[in-house]
Amino acid sequence: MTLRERLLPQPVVTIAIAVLWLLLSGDVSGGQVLLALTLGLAIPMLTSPFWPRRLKTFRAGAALRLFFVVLYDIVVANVTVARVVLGDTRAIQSQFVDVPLDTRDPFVATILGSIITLTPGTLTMDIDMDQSGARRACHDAHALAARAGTDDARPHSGT
Amino acid sequence: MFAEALASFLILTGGAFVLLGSIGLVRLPDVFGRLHGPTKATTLGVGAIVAASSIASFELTGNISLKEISVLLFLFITAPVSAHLIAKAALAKRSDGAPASDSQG
Repeated sequence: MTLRERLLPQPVVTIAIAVLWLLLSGDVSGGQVLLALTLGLAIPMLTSPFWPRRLKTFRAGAALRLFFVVLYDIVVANVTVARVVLGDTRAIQSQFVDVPLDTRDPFVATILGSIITLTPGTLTMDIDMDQSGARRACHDAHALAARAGTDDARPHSGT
Repeated sequence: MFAEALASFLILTGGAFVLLGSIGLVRLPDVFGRLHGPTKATTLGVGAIVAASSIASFELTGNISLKEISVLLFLFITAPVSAHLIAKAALAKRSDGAPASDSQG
């Protein structure tokens, strides 16, 4: 581990924390910038044992596209779930669903799990990552559906 | 005027979805179903209210307030984590511990 990796284990997180602090404080004065940079450097350093790996790349275009896909899904699924909740609750047939993962990266799996939970009607129960076995990684999700046919809330399994 | 109307619309929409989340909490049959309610209310419900707050504060003070983005960000990070913990606890409490295909918790 080089000195640079020791001092700056997560450059992307450092920038994210600094920007978040400036958003929170609401002014971009010298003192706040200094505080933001201090927090951005200290927090990744203190929490580096918890990070599975160093995030090197950040594809802004892909992230933006994913953001709008998720936003659209959240709006559509909210309406669907609203109808389920207000309807006959005895007709609800909820299911546990295995969602096979295309990734072995725990960070990506966690993001997908969070998206599944944030999308109404589906909930991540468990993330089962088998690092050694090939492609046995899977999500257990809980899906809420009133009868077959109203499964619009199904998450996109590809990221 | 237009901003006020838009903010009012967003507050009403957001409030409606938060209410629906609470109704879901009461009406859904088991712990896994009930978990859906509150985690959902935060997404569109609080999202719309926060957007209304942003628009209203810009209209009233003229300052662009970006604090709302961080509110939304914190909720979107913490909601799945707490839901995941409750779900895992509920799973562990079941005698077999394994997900079954029925909805009876």
